Amino acid sequence: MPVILAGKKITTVGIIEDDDSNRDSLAEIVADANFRPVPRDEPLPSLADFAATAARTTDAFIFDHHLKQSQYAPFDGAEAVAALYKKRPSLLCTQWSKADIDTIRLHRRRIPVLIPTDDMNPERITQGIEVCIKEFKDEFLPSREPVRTIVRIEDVDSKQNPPTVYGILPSWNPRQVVRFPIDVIDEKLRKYVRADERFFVHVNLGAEDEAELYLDDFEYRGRLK
Amino acid sequence: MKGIEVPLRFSTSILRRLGEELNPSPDQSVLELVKNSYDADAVGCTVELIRTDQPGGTIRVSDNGDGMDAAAIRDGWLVLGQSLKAPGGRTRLGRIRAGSKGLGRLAALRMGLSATLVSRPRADPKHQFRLTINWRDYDEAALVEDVILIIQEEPHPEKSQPGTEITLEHLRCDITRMDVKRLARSLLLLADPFGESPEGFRPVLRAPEFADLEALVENRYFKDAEYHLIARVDKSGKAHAAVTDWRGEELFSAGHGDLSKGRQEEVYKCPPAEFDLWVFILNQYIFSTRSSSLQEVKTWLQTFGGVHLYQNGLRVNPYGNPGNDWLDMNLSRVRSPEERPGTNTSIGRVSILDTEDILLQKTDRSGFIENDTFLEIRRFATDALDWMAKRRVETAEKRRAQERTEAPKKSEQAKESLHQVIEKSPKSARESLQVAFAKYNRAKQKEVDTLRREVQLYRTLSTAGITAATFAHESAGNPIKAISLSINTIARRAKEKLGKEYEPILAEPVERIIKSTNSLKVLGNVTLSLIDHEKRRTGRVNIHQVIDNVTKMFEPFLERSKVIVIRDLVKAEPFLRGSEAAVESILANFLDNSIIWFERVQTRERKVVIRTQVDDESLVLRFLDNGPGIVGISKEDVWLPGQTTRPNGTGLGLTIVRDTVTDLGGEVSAVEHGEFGGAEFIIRVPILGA
Repeated sequence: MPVILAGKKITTVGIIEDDDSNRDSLAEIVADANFRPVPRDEPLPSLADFAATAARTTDAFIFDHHLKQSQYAPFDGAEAVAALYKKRPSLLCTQWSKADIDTIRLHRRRIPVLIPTDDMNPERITQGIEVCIKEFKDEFLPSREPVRTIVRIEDVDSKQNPPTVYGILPSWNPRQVVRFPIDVIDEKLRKYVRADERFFVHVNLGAEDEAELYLDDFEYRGRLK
Repeated sequence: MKGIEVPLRFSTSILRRLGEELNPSPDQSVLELVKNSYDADAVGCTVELIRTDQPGGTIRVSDNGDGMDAAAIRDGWLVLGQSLKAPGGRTRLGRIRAGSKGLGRLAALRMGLSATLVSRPRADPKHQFRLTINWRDYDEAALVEDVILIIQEEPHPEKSQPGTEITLEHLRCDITRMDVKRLARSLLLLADPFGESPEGFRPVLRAPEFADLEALVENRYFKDAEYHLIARVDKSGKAHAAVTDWRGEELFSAGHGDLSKGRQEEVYKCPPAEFDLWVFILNQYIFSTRSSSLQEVKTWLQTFGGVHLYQNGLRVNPYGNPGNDWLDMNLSRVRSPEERPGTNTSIGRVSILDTEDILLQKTDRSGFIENDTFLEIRRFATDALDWMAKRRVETAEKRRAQERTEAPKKSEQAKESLHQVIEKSPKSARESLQVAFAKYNRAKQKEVDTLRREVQLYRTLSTAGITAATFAHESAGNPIKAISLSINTIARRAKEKLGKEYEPILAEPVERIIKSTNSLKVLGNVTLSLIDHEKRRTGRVNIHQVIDNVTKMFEPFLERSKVIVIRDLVKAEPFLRGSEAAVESILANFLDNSIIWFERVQTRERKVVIRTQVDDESLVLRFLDNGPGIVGISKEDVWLPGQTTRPNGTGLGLTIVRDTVTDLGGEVSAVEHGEFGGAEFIIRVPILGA
């Protein structure tokens, strides 16, 4: 029986997780949420191939973030969720550690729902899929709505790979430095990225926590006088 | 219908507005007039300041350039906003004109209540043309066109050279000593004093400040530089670079790919440019064998240091001025002091041949408009600096490796020669010398062994730390995640199937698993948190914040050991400059120690007190507990590496504390039995504020 969420029928939920035990555990939760779990046991092809084929046969997905370590997939879960944005509702399930912040932030604009492992239960999965479907129709949660605002660059740590940028979003929290990888900025604009430069950027100013923040669509604004 | 022809007309207030708004500082305004002299192919240009230390003084700028006749004055000099630059053309001496549009000149001319121009054209030096602008006439008139200016032609009485003289009288403001100093510096740097300028343009300021600086610039301490970086971008945008030593011998060289960080195909989209940088190592040891003194070179660099930017032979303000670090050299130096030059330890220039006028100066002459070309030049220069830094680190690493290999050999040689000397000494003294040397040798060997063990211990612990972090990361991702997901499913399904039976049968064991899983997660998170690279960045560290974070991080262990932490913190927010990791390692090691020592005694209510006080510009941090105190080891020896009273202890915890406090510029001491009977550690570190 399909579940109808925000006007869309969802029957199957693909489970993309490199650890067998975790995959089975997630499948049980998906089944308890009245969806048909489709755990993916075989290693995955390139992201483009995966998005073009497997994605078409499944209604929604749950991705673990770390997929590369055991050569299960040539991409991270965050990358995959972003690639399926507006195509298939996809949830990212991960232990939100600081080490993952940068790679996830790079795609956070196109990751509507991130569920920490501890919170993974049938209700969260159902709600999460519904949030994705609504966001695909530009019906944003207040914490996800993009607003054009200014980011002021405080510092750039070029020794990190990729270089890490530290900035202040005065309209979000003028006292908190937010870090993000330089890769979120279009390559043509990266030469302007240095202390005291300002950019217009789309940010979900409703985010309550730094971990939820995304920064997207940078436009060069000019140097602070 | 009959039309009326009307021109657009300007109120005289526009001249005042332009004059005021385009006058960044007196020195920059005068510099505009000097640049006009350069454009007129002058070789000499003299700036005189007459009674300018108070309002009402006079400035005179005279040159021996090509001069102007009445037509040139009317159609060029008096036209505001029109570039004097002949497109693609050069001057008689082959100079590319600075291309002033006359707006900077207007700002300069308006410095006084009147400005007088006297010019003798090269074609007819026996006549001179005089024009006086009285600004009061404009103040009284409504429109610019209402004031008519007269160019008077007069025979020149003497057989004289062509040239132009501009006199600004009744100055509205005084010229301060600081302005004079800035002007002197700007004039000296205007036409590239670093190399042999082919232009031969040497402006002079008649002021004592100028003579002092001129002497300083003439000294040219380039030979005292340790390194000379030479980087070039050619017409095709390809770059190459080399670093030479003080003799000019090449140390390293790089092609385009090395400089542009592997992006071989990506050219620099800028006109041909040359970047020269002389880097100095300012320490007494190096200068002890030089003819120049360290202080001389320091003064010279403080005055002229930084990277100056020259467009077509003339310096562009403000690049390289004090406080202008357009290549972020000082920021990079803070991060890597060993291999990076700063603006006070180097001097250099970026020279750009910009015949197409791609780089545009801002109207108020406060630098270039930061268009893509300018940013590409900056990228080229910073890429060259990055490349040089990498090569220097590489060299330093090689040197260190070589020193490590050669040190034991040298030590053996020294020992051998000492033996020979002892053998040659009088027989009566020989025996006691041999005994003394053997004793010294044993002590030295012991010291070396201790250091070696210490290094080995650090390496072992680092490996343990790295491995622990890997395990923590791996366990959080897989086994702990599987347990966590499964137990939640068991609980959920069991509640559904068993209903009321769930509570008495399964609730407790399920809760135990959840609690234990959470404890495991905390263990992993603590390990990962300790290696967070953010914490190793140097910056402002709020000490109370770190105390809160560390005690929170240790909560599960403290709870298990039934230790209560009391934070007795001063009502302020003391902060220092350092890394969070440094402060964290002090507190974490103290807490670790207390937890371990508590295991040895049956103290009923185990407590740790962390107390802070602010005293002058220092923070006093006391760490006290009611454990057994310092026993079985002296309070002096607890800081030594490898000293431990615990089986399998590393004996490094308190050594790390001592070394970290020393790095922070502080001191540390211990009391065997402090206020609560247990050990008391007292740290005093300098702070920036509270």
